Amino acid sequence: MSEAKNRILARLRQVNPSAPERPEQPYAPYLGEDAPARLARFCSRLEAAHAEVVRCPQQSLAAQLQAMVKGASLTRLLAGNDGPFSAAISQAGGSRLSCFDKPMSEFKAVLFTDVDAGISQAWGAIADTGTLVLWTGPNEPRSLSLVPPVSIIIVAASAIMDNFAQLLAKPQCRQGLPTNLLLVSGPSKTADIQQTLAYGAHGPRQLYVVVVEDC
Amino acid sequence: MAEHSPRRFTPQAQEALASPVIRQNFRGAMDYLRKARSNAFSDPVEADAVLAKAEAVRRRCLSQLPALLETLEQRCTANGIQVHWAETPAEANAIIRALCQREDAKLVAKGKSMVSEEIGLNKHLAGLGIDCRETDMGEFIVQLDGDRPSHIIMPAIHKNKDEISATFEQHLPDFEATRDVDQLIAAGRQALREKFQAAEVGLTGVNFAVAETGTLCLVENEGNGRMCSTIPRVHIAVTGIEKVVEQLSDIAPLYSALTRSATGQAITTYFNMVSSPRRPGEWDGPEEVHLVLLDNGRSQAFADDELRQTLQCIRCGACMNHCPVYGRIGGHAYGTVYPGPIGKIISPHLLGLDDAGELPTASSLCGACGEVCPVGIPIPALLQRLRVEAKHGASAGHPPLKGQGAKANRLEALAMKGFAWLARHPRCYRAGTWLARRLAPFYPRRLGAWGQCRVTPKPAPKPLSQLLKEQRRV
Repeated sequence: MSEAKNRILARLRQVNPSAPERPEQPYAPYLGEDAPARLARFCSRLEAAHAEVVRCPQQSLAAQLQAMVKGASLTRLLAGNDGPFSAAISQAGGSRLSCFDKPMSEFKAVLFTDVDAGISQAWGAIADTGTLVLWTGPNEPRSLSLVPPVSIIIVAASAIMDNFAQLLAKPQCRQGLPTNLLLVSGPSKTADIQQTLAYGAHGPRQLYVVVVEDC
Repeated sequence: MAEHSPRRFTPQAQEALASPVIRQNFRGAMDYLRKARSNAFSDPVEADAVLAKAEAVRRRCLSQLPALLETLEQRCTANGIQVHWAETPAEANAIIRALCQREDAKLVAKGKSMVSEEIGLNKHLAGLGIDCRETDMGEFIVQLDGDRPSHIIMPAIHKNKDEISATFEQHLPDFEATRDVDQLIAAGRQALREKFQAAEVGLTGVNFAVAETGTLCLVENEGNGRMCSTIPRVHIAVTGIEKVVEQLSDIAPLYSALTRSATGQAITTYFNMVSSPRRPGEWDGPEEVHLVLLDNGRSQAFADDELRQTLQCIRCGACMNHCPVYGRIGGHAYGTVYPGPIGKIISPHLLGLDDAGELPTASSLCGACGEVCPVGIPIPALLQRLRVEAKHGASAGHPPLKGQGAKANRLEALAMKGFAWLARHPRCYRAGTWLARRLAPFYPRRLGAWGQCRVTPKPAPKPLSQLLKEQRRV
């Protein structure tokens, strides 16, 4: 054990602060009335944060993605290995799509210079703030939604929760968080120059979100 | 650029007040940030509830601080995050230096971290030939200028776009002057993308460290924090020991209180929860994650029931944005890493009451900072407490603060003692006021520093006690 640690803890332990007297009130953030209300809030909040949101049924997901890729003239797409929407992504991407299946050290140059858009599959979403939840891992690399200039994220409508507190209370979170759990609520932005909002500071300039309504 | 110091607060403040550019830049920024905050808390009932919860969480977590730190270390270690402890800035720098040298690092990509400013990391690493590059847009601009951040959330708040364009022209190749903010940001993005790829080490701060799960949370809008904690092989997070919270559920109210108080956002673009280095089968993320826990005077604040509240701070900057002093003189005049009201109550613990100079008295005690603090830190009361500690020795049972009694003045103490005696002896007091009225014509016209902004007082023709007596007779 380090000396510094012992000394710091010893100093802190000399004090015996009393626990706060007032009982803590429960935290009560936004609760949606029903699924449509949640979906509406989720979409409107994300749009307010400058993301482009489309909704579609699962059977037209591939077509929707294709139209999106064509509309934005995206030629080199990158996605993770596997996920609930992988079939539709492959169908839409065709030869333009490659898979993130090399370690960062070998893949850095390609990732930073060659890829137009990363396609991610969200694990969940939060209606309150218009937030996508990315549970990163081998099939969902975290840099997919960060490095390419365009980020496309697909999420199931049924995965929309009311608020952040509900996410944190999920047993999966408490028992085994991933390497990196990410909340994404819009394209990368900054107001560091004279309080003027600008998009694409370091991450994606554009965020497209596809909500799959029937799953 | 001359180094600012809290010991030269007055001349630095005067200089800032005399600069129309600084005055204008801060006025604009303060108006913007205040309006944004007030819109974000438009429902007073909801606002009270979330802020009361945030305060309660911070108080509870601080009341268990040593136990939570130990749990945090255990959980982080079990997750594969290596934990280091530093009592002083020098120790923290030594830990980070050793990690960088072991990586043979030439370039460190750094996300925004006030603790790294506190320890003077950039300068320390530069001395060893390691380029520690700021990647937050505001910090990047400030670093290019060889300047310092003037706000904890918006580091380049003191500069306007023309000044930033001039900075880029001077330092970035092929940059053409522009007033277009999108173009300015694009230039910064381009310059920094190269750095993210080349850096061997990424360094960030921590907004909340969750003891329950051993998770480090980072709040940001730009994505540079994610870059620094994702792309380089090694990620080092550095934070003060007070940032630990007990459980995952604690971060929801704190995060909401933080973003709304800081910039009026309901949420930031990214919330990044790091719980371990890259696991087998994963393609990206750092192969090593280190957490450096820094004390640097925090345990001194912790030792006192009242001063402990200083550590509730979640670094939102709302106190600065609402401070009539900060809004006029800006952040540099304070000469400390943490400027504004919160800086005035933190710095004495970091630097000592002696080196903190006039900071505890550089306040009108208007109370705005305490009112807007999302975690209920009574900043004005703590300022008054620090003023007392700076003037007197430690009271019985209290260990002396660093620089205790630094501002004690024997003449002043004697005068106060004399006045206390006089005030308790009515006859002498009356004789004194009688004499003061008789001597009025001989008062000096200038009363030194005190009289700079004040008119020399004139004693009333009749004392208050006499006026009251006369009124009773009527």
